[in-house]
Amino acid sequence: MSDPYRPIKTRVEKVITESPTIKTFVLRPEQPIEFQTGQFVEMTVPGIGEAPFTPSSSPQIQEQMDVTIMNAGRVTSLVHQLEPGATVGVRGPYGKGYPLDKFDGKDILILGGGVGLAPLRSLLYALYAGPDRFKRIVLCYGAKTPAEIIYKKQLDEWRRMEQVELHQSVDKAAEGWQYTEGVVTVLVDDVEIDPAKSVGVVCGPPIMMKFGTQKLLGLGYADEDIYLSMEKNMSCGVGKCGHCRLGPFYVCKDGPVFTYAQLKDIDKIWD
Amino acid sequence: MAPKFVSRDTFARFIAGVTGGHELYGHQTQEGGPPHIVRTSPGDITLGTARAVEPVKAFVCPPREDLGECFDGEPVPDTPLLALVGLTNCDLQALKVLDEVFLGGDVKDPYYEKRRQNLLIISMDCTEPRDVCFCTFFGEQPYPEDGYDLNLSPLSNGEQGYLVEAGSDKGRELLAAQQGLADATDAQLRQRQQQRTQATRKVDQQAAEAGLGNIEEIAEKLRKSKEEDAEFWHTHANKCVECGACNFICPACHCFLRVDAAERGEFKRFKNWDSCQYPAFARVAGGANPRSRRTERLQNRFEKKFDFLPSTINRWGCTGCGRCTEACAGDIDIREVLKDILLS
Ligand SMILES: Cc1cc2nc3c(=O)[nH]c(=O)nc-3n(C[C@H](O)[C@H](O)[C@H](O)COP(=O)(O)OP(=O)(O)OC[C@H]3O[C@@H](n4cnc5c(N)ncnc54)[C@H](O)[C@@H]3O)c2cc1C
Ligand code: SF4
Ligand code: FES
Repeated sequence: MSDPYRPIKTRVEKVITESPTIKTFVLRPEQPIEFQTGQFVEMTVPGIGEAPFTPSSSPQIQEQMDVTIMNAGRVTSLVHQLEPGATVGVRGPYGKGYPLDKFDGKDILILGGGVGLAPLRSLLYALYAGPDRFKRIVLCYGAKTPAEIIYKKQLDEWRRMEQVELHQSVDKAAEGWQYTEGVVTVLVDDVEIDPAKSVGVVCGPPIMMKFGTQKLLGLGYADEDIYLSMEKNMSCGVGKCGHCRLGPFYVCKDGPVFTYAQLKDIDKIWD
Repeated sequence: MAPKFVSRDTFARFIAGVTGGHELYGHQTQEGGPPHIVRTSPGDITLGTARAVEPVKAFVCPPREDLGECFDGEPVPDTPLLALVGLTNCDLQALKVLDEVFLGGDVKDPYYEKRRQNLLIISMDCTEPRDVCFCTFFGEQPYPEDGYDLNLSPLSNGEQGYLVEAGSDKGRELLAAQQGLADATDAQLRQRQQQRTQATRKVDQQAAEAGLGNIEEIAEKLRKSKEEDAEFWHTHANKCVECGACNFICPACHCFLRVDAAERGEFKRFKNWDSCQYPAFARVAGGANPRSRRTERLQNRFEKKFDFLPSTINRWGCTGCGRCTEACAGDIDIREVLKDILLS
């Protein structure tokens, strides 16, 4: 009998400091883990605890996986102390990721906030991996301050790519900030896009997800064309422990990616 | 296979015969109190007249399941063969919920599966349902019709012996292997029927007195009610002391927390019972909590049982056993909450 709660032994290959509170961990599991972009894994610090994270690397690379982790509490603060060579556990992948086949032939408008850019980086890799599959990818990314911007190298790369159109904002600008100041939703005002021929993807803190969704609805996006990554308390990851219930769904198994159409009738989805 | 008769004198021998090779757990009943299910021996079983204090889930997903070492070690360790004597229909119905939760879907819980496979279920009829029982409200009855290996019907509380019926291949085999058991007589079967009718009537009456109406109607109201701030929810929730007893004593509540711990130099994993009435149950990093208030958590308990489970696994998450009503430190009576939903 195989044990769904048992993680695969995994070596931390590399630790990249992205911002004062966010680090990317390059992981090498003893057995390759195949995932779809948007799916998540449970990462274990042995003897300490587990937490769910979404791989931020390309789903095409299986022997190695990046997770980008914000120091947010008990487990993540210990994760942040890990150094290359450390052993962690990874189990998964779990849930439903982004349905790329439904995106076919459409432009993609992506709204990301804070560490919410992690799953979106994986999505971007997947989107521009297939040549010419997605002609236009618009990424609107907001962080609190310039210091809290993650993936600075990739952002520069994306800025140079023809397929990708990058808009950036920070809530509070600093010396030398050359892009927008304000919340991420204001970036969308600069984007010319036809809601009927595109899909919207939103990932970030709850408040940003809420206003991001309202923004897209205001532009005329259909409920079923808005894709949201929901964060709920999780423990098992496989629909057994009851922690992640959201209305008629378990986020771990029916999500974490949902369309707004699936969620809109549920009470208090943004809480 | 026709029901058999086991006399009072041979009952212990019969139990020993059918439960050989198993760790035996059975009712221990003290004067006036509900039975407890304890590790016992055939001669020491004293069957109660209704369900035990302990819910069946304690035997298939124990409060703290040891999942072994973090990475290595045996995948899923063996667990002992258990014989449980005295399960009642409300527990058998709860097992169906647990089976759906832990064995249904794409992923099976192998720890549950192993314990479940190793269970020999010897159930019984309730002859004197407890005052808090309302199982008939969910379309069930205070005696098992399926889901058991062997079922016992005590005649006059065992004074006149027991009727034994097999409900599975395993049960039929075990029963066939017992020498010299007479078929139940027509008079005995009539007596069983009378006892069953009487017990059913008592529960029906209790449910009617509680003013519960119809469960479908209550579920419909719960689904539609957007008025989550209705006064009655607060009134009940304000009595909650967040002890979790209602969840832990419930035979159908299944929520757990995956826990890691370092023990004697080993990195261990556990699955511990958890309670949705605890403040941190739904809390996420950064402190956001979709159910930070007791009212929201009480509503969650009812939504889970009367909306989520019926819509996902087509079963009520409550079997009417009344354990939570007896256990609640704040005197919250599940029937009163259901009635208030109905009247809302
Ligand atoms: C699908 C999904 C994907 C995610 N992806 C990412 C990602 O890519 N990057 C990222 O940085 N974050 C991600 N997160 C968020 C991340 O999982 C959390 O930041 C992480 O779980 C925080 O764990 P912690 O122990 O450090 O925080 P804490 O705040 O200490 O604990 C959080 C969890 O522990 C529970 N808890 C805390 N204290 C107690 C207590 N006393 N009793 C009981 N329970 C308690 C909380 O209820 C909560 O479940 C994701 C979350 C989800 C659901
Ligand atoms: S048993 Fe009663 S007091 Fe305890 S958590 Fe449940 S509702 Fe609250
Ligand atoms: S995380 Fe356990 S049910 Fe979703």
